[in-house]
Amino acid sequence: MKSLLVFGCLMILCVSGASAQMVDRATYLKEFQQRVKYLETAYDTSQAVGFYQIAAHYKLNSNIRQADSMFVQALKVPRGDMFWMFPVIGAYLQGVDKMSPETKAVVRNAWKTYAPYRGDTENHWAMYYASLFLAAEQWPNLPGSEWYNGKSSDENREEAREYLFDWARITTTIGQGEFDSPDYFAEYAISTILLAQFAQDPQVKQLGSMLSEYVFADFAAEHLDGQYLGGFSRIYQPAVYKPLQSTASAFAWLYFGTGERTTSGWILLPALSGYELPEIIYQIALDRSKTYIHKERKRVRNVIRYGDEKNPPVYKYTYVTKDYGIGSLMGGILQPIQQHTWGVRYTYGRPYTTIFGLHPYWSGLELGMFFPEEVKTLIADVVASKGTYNNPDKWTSASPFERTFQHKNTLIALYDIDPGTTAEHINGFFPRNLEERIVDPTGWIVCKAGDTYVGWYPLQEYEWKEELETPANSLNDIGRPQLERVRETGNWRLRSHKLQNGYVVEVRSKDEIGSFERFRAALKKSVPKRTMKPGDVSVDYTSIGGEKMHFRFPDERKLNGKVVDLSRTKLFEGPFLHAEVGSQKLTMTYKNKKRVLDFKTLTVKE
Amino acid sequence: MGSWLVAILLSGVLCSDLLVAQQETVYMAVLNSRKHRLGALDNPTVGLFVSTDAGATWQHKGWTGYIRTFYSEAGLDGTIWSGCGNGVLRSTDRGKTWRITTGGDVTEVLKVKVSPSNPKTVYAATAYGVFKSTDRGETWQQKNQGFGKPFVADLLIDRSKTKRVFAATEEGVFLSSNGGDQWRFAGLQGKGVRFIAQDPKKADRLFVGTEEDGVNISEDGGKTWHPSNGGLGHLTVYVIAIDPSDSTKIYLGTHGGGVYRSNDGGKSWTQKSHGLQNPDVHALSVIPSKSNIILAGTLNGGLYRSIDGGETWQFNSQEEAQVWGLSVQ
Repeated sequence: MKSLLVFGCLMILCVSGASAQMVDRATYLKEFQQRVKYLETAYDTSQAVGFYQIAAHYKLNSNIRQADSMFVQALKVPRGDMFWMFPVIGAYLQGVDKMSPETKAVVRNAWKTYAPYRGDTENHWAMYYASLFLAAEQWPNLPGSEWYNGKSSDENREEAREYLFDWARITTTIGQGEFDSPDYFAEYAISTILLAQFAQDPQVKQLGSMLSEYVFADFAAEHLDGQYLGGFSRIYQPAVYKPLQSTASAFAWLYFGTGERTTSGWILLPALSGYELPEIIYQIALDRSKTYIHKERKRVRNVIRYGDEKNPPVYKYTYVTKDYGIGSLMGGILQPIQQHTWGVRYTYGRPYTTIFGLHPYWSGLELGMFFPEEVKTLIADVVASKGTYNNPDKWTSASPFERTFQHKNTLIALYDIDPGTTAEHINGFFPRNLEERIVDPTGWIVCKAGDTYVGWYPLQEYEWKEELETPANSLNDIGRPQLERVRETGNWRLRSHKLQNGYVVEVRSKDEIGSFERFRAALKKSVPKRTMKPGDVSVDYTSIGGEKMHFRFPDERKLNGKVVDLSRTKLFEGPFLHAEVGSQKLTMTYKNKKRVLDFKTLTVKE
Repeated sequence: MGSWLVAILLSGVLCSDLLVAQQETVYMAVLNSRKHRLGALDNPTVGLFVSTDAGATWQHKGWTGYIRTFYSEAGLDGTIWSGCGNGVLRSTDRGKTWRITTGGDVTEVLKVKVSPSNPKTVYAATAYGVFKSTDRGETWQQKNQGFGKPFVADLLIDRSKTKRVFAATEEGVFLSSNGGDQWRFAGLQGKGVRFIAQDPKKADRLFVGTEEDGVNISEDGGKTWHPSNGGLGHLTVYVIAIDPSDSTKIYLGTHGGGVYRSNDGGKSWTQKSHGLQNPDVHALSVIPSKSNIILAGTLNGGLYRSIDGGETWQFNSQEEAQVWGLSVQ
């Protein structure tokens, strides 16, 4: 009863953070500890049996015998591969000095008998090797016969160590592969925080700490009110149209004090770990007093076939204000399945705080670029676990027929879609809670979302479709869930069936342009000139800021008559983050502060 | 057979192991169960299955759970090798215990091929190229020199000259004459090659299955190739199996068309899919001692077995599973 009362009080203390303002360090730490306590208590008082509850019991030194019993029970049928590894080692490390010898033996035996899959992508490998490293440190000097993979403790530790340093090297030279993922941020952050807090090897501990800062800084520079901004490598529905539902937003609540209060399990182990964010990252995440442009260079996930390069570059551009952010990837297939090429996100109108567009594409060839199974059956294989992949109404997608050109808060998207392609239309998402969605006689669709105004000029004819309720049990042709089982009504889908297509998007805030009427009047004067023929898709447009943009599909971009050379994009460039390609160094700056992560020397300098 | 015995004696295995190795054993790699989702709360029994009765019954060996097992085969010393998502796995105790022999750099291993002359020499075909071990998997070296694009779906070690190795790539056939140290283009430019087979009677006679172009045959050890698709209605050929006792009898596993058979050495093909409920056949094996028994592994339809040379097929096991690879030792 006492703990429940404490939990209730904490619920009152932990305000949602809806209007989070930057606070001084002492206040931040006090509020951060309140959020940590809220999470700890929530899991400590939970009746469920799970690794997070077990970890909370150990951390709070409560119900140790019950935690032991739960641990033994939870390990009876191990499953989940690398998603099993990190909560198990995370819970173990919380209780290693408290659990009974019998419980310890059960945990140890699980790492001998359960053989997890290593996975096939960056987030899998981060979880797998971070967990394996910590486990190998916990049980040193064991022969291969004591480990699921036949390798000794030394071999496992060294293999994991080598992978982790190699991952850091490639990430800090040519960028992360599964970059800026609101839904996979957690996998990296948990892995690196566990290393930072629990690795015994001082170099790995330091690496974990620096990588934690790296991924958080990457997020912070594109953070607004609990949301990740810009284009993303991977995101799920519904988080793509309800941004605060992503796991990154749970981290934003815990570490930035923004977004909405949550008891997401993804942040429990970091909360228990004691890891504290450096102040400068918090400040980068919160200070939106000045509008800025933030650019990044990432890499495409490993292309194993049907491409000329293993990790081609990804160019990302994000424009951030205190009211909204608009960000984009340059387009094309940069990630399979869950790419979010561009989007506007703003602070008004939770939960639907976004407008975006896409070409909902799917093909065996796309999947074959990244997965080694047979291209002719890959679609069915993927749909078995990601049911939206072959749905023409899906809201995440990469497409070879899509390209973007962004300058400040103006974005042009062009499409030149081959006939017969899945699918032969493009979609735009307009949320139901817009204050205004007006179709102006000039062709502009003019939207108002609080103090953010969005203009969308379709380059071809289109239709509106209301997003009707998705049946809870909708199945596709092989009997898998067609869409995530959520019920939504009233959002709007712009659909255009022309294969040569595109649109221009202008975004302004009240601070930037004044009234909504003034924004609308400015758009009336800015009508794009277009060419829409197969193989010849282009647009010339003078933005409402007076800048001349020429964009010809796929990659001819000119700004005020000058060619835009994306290949010059640095790993990070903006007011807060700075990193050259190949440097293995990230410099964070905020006002007169500077913090340098040097992965070559494994040092942090201020 | 001479080199077979010599290899075993050189490998120094015990007599009991020798006896086991002499048995005709079929190795089946079950890649996935369609019911499985990565990270989901299920534990499909997939991976390696072994049969010692010509595929009538099977025993699961090795790791439980999903580790993306693409292919397994045994060397002449009885060592079992598996190509998996987790790397190259090795078992020296007939599948009781396993060791991942590779590190984090070797992933998505599509085939493991053991030299027919030296069981210590093993090649791995992976999504990232070829890896080779000459010390029974203790160490591995990447062998990609000469490849344009390194995705290698299959490898064939020429049994007459075991330093000659053919690689099936998305850009055609590549050949190494020095055990993988260097590769050179060896035909079928631009054709996605999926599988390479060698005639059990004529070493210079080679067959390849392709992604879109059916079957190509070489009569001169890979110097020249010609298409041979008469009667072949499905041109995605995943696998080729040749009757070791009668090499004019050849079986193809195709996408969409099930099994095709040739009775004239590959000149013409006839569809033989009666009873196959899944038309995507990715693995085939002819049982050497009973060559009327054929096994066909399908993508998402499990394993089928024929006891009349492919005339009719009966479902055998692995409901809804992807049977990715079959091999016989």
